[in-house]
Amino acid sequence: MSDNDFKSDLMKAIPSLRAFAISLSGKVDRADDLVQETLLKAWAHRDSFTPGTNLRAWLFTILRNEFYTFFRKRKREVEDADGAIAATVGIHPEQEGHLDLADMQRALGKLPVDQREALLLVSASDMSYEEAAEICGVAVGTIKSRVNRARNKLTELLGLSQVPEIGPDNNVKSALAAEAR
Amino acid sequence: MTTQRDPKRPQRPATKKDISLVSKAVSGKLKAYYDDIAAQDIPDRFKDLLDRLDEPKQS
Repeated sequence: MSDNDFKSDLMKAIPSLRAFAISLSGKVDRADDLVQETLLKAWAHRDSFTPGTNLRAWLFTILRNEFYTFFRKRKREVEDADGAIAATVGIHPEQEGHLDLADMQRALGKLPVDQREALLLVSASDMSYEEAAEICGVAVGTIKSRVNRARNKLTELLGLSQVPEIGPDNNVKSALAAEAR
Repeated sequence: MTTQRDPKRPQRPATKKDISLVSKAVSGKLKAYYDDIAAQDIPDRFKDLLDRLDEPKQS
């Protein structure tokens, strides 16, 4: 693979790298730093990438490693990401009422980071369980259980009231509201 | 988020169908949120960065 082809593939991967980095870290500035580090590392190690294999998974692995390097250094700040998140993503709280992006970002920030990354890889990035397992360096079963737990927790955090079809169960709603305090 | 009761809706325990609908709704929201970020324009800093990678290495 020529350098130009590789560069062009990097360019194409940027939007999904940013989406992963922003939803993982909760902050756009930090996420863009992560993406930049990822691109530089990928470029420096481009000879170790096997053409024809999964570039996106390879890049996500690099990005994830960068995130955890940062995470270990600044653990508290990352855990405190909730709250600061909505303001930095630059999204409107209500978009035609059907989708509350700030709520989603806040809820993601409340998930344990191992569950958050598993959910983002599988449910948002359309990675297979196997790809996600490889990226995270854990067993496929571990990823499946993390995704399930993350999805359940996210459902709680977002509140059932936003799903009109099911008719909000007020017991659940108030229990969730109480838990969120 | 409001915790007020809606008197028009009867209370009942969640069924399996409810849970499946909720799960789908949550996954859909997550995907929409994620795709929304991915649809943003690529910041110039990345274009500049990749352009610079083209330059011959300084020795």
